[in-house]
Amino acid sequence: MDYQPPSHLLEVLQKIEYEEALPDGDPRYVDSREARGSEKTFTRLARKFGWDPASNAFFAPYEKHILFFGHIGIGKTTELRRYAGQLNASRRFYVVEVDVLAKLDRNNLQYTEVLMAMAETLLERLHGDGVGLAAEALEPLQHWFGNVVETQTTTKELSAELKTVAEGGGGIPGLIKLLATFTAAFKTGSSQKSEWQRKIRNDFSALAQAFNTLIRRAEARLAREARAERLLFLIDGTDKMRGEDTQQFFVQDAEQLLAIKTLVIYTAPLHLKYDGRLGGKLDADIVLPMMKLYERNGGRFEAGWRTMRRLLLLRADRCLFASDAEVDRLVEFSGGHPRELLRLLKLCCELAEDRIDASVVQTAIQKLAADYRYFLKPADYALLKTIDSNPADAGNDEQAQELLHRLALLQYNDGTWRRSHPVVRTLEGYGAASG
Amino acid sequence: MVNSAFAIEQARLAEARQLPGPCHDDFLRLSRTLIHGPPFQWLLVEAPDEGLRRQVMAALDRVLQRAGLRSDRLPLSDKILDVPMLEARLVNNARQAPVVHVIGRPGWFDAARWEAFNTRRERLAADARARLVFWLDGEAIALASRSAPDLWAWRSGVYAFLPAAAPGAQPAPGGERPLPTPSPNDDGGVDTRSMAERSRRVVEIRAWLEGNPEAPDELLISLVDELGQLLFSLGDLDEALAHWREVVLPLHRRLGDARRQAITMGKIAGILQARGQLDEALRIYQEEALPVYERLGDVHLKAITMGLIADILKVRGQLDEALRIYQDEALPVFERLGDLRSKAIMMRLIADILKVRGQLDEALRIYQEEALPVFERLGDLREKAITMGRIADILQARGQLDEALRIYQEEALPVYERLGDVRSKAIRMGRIADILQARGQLDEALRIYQEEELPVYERLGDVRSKAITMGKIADILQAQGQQHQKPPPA
Repeated sequence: MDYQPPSHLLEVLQKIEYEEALPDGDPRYVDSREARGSEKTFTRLARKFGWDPASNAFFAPYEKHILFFGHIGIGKTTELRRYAGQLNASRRFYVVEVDVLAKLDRNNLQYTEVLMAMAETLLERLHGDGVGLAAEALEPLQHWFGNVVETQTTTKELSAELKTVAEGGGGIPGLIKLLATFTAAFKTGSSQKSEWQRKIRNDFSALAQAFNTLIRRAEARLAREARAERLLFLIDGTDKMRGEDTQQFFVQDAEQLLAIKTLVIYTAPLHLKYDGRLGGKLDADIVLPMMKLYERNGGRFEAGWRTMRRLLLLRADRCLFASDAEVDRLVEFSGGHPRELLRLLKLCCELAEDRIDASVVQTAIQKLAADYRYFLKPADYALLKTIDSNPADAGNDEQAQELLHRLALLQYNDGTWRRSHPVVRTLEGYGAASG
Repeated sequence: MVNSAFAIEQARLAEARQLPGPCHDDFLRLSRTLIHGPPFQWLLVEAPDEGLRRQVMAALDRVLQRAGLRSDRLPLSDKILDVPMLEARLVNNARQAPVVHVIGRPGWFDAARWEAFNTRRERLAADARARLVFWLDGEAIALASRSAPDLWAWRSGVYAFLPAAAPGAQPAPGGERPLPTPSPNDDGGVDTRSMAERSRRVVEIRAWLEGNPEAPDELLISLVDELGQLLFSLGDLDEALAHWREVVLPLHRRLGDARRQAITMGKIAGILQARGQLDEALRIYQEEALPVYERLGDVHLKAITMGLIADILKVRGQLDEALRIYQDEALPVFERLGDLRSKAIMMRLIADILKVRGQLDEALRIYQEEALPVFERLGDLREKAITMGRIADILQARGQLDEALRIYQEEALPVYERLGDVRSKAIRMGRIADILQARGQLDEALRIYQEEELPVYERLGDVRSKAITMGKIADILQAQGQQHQKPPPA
């Protein structure tokens, strides 16, 4: 049956979950490429991995580690799932999606755990798809674990069954179980976590080599079965790590990430792109832009309005709005940010009785604006006003990055220009600031 | 026991009205998202004043209880040493109750603790599947937004319950706060405002009255009149009664306004009448209101009061006398004055008596041709719904149960729900139950009598209607008992 958006306010309210990324094929998905000005984003990404979607020409680099930037809540995961569907369908790539936040603990998240999660997810996917691997493909990884198990304290944590796996038995299911033991311990903050992190770090080159062998063997097998030519890891959740962990992961430990010779996309927070510390080791070109409602010169950008309207009306039936004017006003004050649009919609559902009319929308805007009052300082308002008067001259200091991170400042067209969030412009502090 | 959606909505609005004015809107928002939002939410509430926080939380818990949602409290005391311990407690509490109030202590959350909390958020969302309501001060919320922006982006909502500024803290021109905007219904016309709008207006008026205790009587008079009418229309009969007796009546006496004293007495009698205290209501109409209108020569108010007296006579079974009053004393006055609405109401009352006497065709003609078109033209939804209900009553009596049921459900009930007219809604629900009972759907009929109708009469203090409903319940229970006692078929 065709999807019908909820037509009761309380049903809309019940279904709004900000953290929910849409799976590929979800009926609420809206193609936002034109609205974002990102028609070429997928092509650029695919070409970086050696595939031209238009001609189907293919020659993949040996390794490529790409950061995928974007504001919090603009739909990075939703878009990537869509991209993953296209990449899989090409039969050039076998995409392995790793949700690190589901598998691991974001606290003190390090490359060591991410590597374990990558290996575990790869084996799970192969096993689920019925792709078998010869014993020699698994042997280096098992051998590495065999060495780890020799450590007295680690051994205490492992059952006899898993020790057998580490000594070369159990095949793919056994190795999955062994890896899962490690990732579960990392997730629950087991007492062994630090020791295992240290062990992996100390013996990382051997582990990386073992993992690389597994990757090559898996690719060979997939190619033989004409399923795909290269593995591609999509690491999601790395944009949501703690500030210092983000630095550690993408800056200090970039060499360790690069030691895994494969194709990888990592989600990354937008402010990382602009803080100047990345140092060019990882590919940091691709930004998922915001949907824009206006051009830099102030002219309306109709594709943005169309897409945001559609996005809204797939979450709440049109009959819930008094008129098109209310739909447009919500879109306008979202600034083109999908989660902010949902936030405004949620506020409307909390406020309205049976329909969303002009006064409900106005109150929702005021309520969302009030959230920004909690952290904006007079100097922030002044900077926002300065940027609004000259959107291309954004500056890039810590203050501007903080405002970007907290969505008080929104960035359009891959960062070529920025504007303050429309709800912030309704605040007295903004009005009183001298920009 | 979980109440109906309508009863929960009534409770939500009633609790909101009891809170200080500035809390009204955010209380409605918060209670709605707690009841109707997703099972996991992280809600931030700014409530720095402990007394107010307790008041709001207690009101919230009463509403949650009606919605069948248990709440648990988790104070951030010295016993909770760090964020891991808080996490463990949240997981534990979320297993016990779908709503957990985390009561913050100033200074407990610092930047490091917010960051530590941030690192656990996915785990909390997975393991503590409840609405986690964090009651904090503004500083703690500001700190969350500054030191854990990812966590901040994850918030389900922010609400604020701040104590009202002391009188005079925000002086308006002239040294007083501005008067609430005059209601469009001051002229006594149809109040088309929704329940929430009326509730909000109650809060506005009360806030103004609290902030202006020395306001002159002439300034107060229209506001207190409106407040009484709002309370009555929202079904707060106790409050309306107390307000009219203790605030409005003394005010009119001070001002020496005999006409408005009589009108207020009539309103008091109206509540007593609704509660079945017919003798006292009749006494007031006859001894305290009617003589005043006669003395003042106010034929319109006299005709209305005569109609109200006839209503009581009708309930007592004195149909002839009631009909005489409607036809000879009230109707001609409204016709002469060109008061179409009152005339249409009077025609409907006449038809009601014809219906009781079995003259169904003539009654139906009057409802359809003399009353309904007038209410439709005037846009009076409430009177239209009442008239539609009467038409359905006749259809029901003639055995056209499907059409009667449709009218009750689609034409009458939604209007009463929107207007917050609990009594009329309860009456119509009773009619629906009557039809279900006639169809043999005894369980559903019983449920409506017991859960939708009886509690309303109990709350309104309407002993007569309560007794009638109890009788219907007893009939069903008896019928069910007989069914159960029947010997099994051979």
